Amino acid sequence: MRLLLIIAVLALTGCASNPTVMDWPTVPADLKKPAPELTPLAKDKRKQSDLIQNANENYSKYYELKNKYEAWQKWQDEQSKIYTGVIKKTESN
Amino acid sequence: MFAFFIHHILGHIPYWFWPFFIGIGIAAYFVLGIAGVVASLAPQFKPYVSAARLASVAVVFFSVFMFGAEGTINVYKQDQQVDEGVVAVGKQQSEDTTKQIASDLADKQGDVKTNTVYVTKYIHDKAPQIDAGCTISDEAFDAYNQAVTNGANQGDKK
Repeated sequence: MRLLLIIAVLALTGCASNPTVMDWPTVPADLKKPAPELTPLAKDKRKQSDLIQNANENYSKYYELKNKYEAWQKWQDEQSKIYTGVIKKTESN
Repeated sequence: MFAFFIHHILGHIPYWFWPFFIGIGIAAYFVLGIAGVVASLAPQFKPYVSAARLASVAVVFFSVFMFGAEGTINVYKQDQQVDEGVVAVGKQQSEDTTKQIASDLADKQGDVKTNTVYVTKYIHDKAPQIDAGCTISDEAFDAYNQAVTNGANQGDKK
């Protein structure tokens, strides 16, 4: 009886399956770069043009970061849609 | 180990292999039945014939099981191939999306840099007019830098 049970369990291990899964994709390297610090005005820069130039540089950092943030959101949304679609299709098979 | 055997070896055995053994087992069972009658004349062989007959039954059962398992494995493999196809398409879509987003980002960052350079040139060209008014006071300088650093690095917050 015990031998029969062992044989049955052994036979059932043949039914074990390895599901085909999709790995979550790697995030693009550009999106993983840390946000830059804004640059303060240097001590010797006291002209209005210096101030405006400094603001110009800092604003450009903001826009670059905004682009990166929007790209992150888009990447996450698109990848989620693809990933969920693949999971649903493989589960329905 | 048994699962490995089932999945990797079973699928490569020819289709006729297990039915062939089922046939062999059944034939052996009947031949050994006749041999059993003959062996009754020589009783010292009877235990061996009985054992061989039992083995032939075991061969039939095992072959039927493996024949069924092979059919199951074929269905499983077809499903797996479909899944692998779906995953491959998904991976390609995912890679294409990542490339497209990285490319769009690079374009947008290029636009930001171009605009910054343009404004920098404008400031440089118009510096005499911009600076005609006055210089920045200490208070304005401090306030501006506090705003830039969000006050985090300022020792003398106001």
